[in-house]
Amino acid sequence: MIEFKNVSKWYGEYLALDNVNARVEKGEVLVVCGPSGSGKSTLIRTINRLEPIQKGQIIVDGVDVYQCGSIDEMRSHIGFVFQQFNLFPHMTVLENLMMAPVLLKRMSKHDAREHGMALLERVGMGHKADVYPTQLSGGQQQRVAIARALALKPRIMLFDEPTSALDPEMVNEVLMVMKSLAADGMTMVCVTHEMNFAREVADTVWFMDAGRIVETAPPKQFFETPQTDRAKKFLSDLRH
Amino acid sequence: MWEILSDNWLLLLVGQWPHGPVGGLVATVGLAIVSLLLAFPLGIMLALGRISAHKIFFWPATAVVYVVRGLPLIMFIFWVYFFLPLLIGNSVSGVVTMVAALALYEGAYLAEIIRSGIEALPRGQMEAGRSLGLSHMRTMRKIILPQALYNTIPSMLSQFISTVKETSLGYVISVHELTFAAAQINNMLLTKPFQVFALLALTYFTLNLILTGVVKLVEKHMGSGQAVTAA
Amino acid sequence: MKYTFDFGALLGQGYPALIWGGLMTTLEMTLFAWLLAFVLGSVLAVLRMLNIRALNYVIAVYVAFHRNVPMLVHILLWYFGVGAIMPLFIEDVVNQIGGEFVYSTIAIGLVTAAYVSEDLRSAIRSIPRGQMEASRSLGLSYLQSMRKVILPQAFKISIPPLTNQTLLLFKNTSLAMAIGLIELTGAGREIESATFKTFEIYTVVTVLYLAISLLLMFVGAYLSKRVAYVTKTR
Repeated sequence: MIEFKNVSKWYGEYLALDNVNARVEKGEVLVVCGPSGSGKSTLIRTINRLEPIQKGQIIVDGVDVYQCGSIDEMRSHIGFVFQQFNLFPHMTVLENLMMAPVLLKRMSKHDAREHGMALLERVGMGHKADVYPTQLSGGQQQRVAIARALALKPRIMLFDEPTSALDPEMVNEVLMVMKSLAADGMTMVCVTHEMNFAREVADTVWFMDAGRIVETAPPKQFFETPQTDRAKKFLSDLRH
Repeated sequence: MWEILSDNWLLLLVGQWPHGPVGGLVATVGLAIVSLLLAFPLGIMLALGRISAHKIFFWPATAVVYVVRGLPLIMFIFWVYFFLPLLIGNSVSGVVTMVAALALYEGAYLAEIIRSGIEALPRGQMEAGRSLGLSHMRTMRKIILPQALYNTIPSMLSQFISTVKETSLGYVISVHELTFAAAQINNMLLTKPFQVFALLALTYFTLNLILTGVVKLVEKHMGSGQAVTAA
Repeated sequence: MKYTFDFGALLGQGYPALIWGGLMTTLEMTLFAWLLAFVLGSVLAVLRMLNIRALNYVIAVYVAFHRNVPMLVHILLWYFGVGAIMPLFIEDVVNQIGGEFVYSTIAIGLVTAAYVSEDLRSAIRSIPRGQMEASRSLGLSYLQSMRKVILPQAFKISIPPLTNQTLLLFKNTSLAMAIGLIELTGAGREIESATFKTFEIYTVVTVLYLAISLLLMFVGAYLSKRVAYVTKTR
């Protein structure tokens, strides 16, 4: 579903991604973790071209992301959830969800509204459809952001540290939504520090350090028997 | 246009001096400097009045600031032109009128700049001063104002540029500044109004561009990291 | 102070009509100049977002010229300068409306446009990058994102500075009296020289200016509050 082939990226002189080669299969739930500066956020942002790469290829669903005709078309099939939610403050919650389907002519206004309401119910925010984002808590906003990303019926969902900006008591409500998405078979790539989530839901864990994927393993194996020293250090730092 | 400049540069620079009052560019800059220097203490007083807890200081200061901000400068100048002789008992020249009007007008604008500079300081500064036993006035003078004034230097320098532009209104009351000089040249030549006034515009443009450059240099030197986001 | 107050003297000889006419002229100037300023300012701001080097340079020069030269000089340049080199057929049209009115309105509109474009530009730049990223991630094009996400927010943010510009524009119309246009200040001066009741007529003119200024300030504050939302998430 997603394939990285010899992907390298520089910020000026700084090598952010170092010759990454990896695959994500359809329906797979992948967690990417690592110390800060490891390149995990950069990696996920290259998938929908929020960040450009200088070398290599990224193939999503058979299409080279950097050679495709319309990046906008490509992006509408990939859902992206930001750490800072990035909801549109000048629109209501429901309008946030309806805007893209209607504007991109995927749905009529009526259908977009129905579909939007259904999604909001699914993330537990149906009762806040006509409220403005700034009136919501962080956890509520992030759930709306997930619903907004789902509105275009994407084939892949990308999560860039979705709970890092939330107060601890709100982290769970967001993780619950993500778990239910995984249970429904969505292909998901999650950059996160939430190791319990990884343990319960992920199929694979990629551990990154200094722009490389250092270790790849199923969660149980990664957490209990990390192979590399850097992974071991990372996990022991996490526990303290 | 170049000929007009080479023929009349002296008039544009210093007006009819020495055969008349100093005018032209020199007068423009001089008017601006003098007015702003007078406006400065006025601005501080009005600013203090605006933040005062005592109604007797707050209301007059607020009234002055709102009236000045609501009136066009030209109307304000006419008021001063009318009022000043009555106040002093003697007739008053256009230059004095101009300086008085600009000093008051700019004083009100400076007051708002200084006021926001004071209010931008952390409350802890005043609290620290008072807990050391300094009176309100003393704390203002020794701790608050020096910091506020320093922080607002770039804004105040921008007001100087505004003042330079405002001196052009002297033209209406026959003050011998740059615009008046250009109008005199136009009256002499009569056939080249576009060139004359284009030259006038370019002169102000150059002058203010240089002044803006100076302001930017000062800002850099002060290391102003004050990022003001749009409200 | 020897001065006898006599507001009654203002009521005779068609003076009220003169004041009213002046007020109307002022308001008309304000309206037309504002339209010019706002439309042109918006166009300039959006053009600058395209990031074409040459275009940015031209706009920057336009803005610098109109901001650094005094308003009065712009009016003089247009009325005396441009007015003199206008082709005849345009001059005829202009003179029908009134050269003083047309040229001073154009001058004031162009200068205010420069400030409006800068205010809009800084409003657009103050919107967090995440908004554009979120919009593009949904598959919206750059233009669609601008139209639906960035610009609506930018306009709301720029209401306070734009209110200020409107106020300044309104006050700047008084400068047209320097070329003989009988707007509010000009009307005041006419009546002053006719009646010598300087204090009375100045008071009337001042009250009118202050009333409208305050009205503009209130409308601006009201609009700002109505569209306001806290942009920082909790």
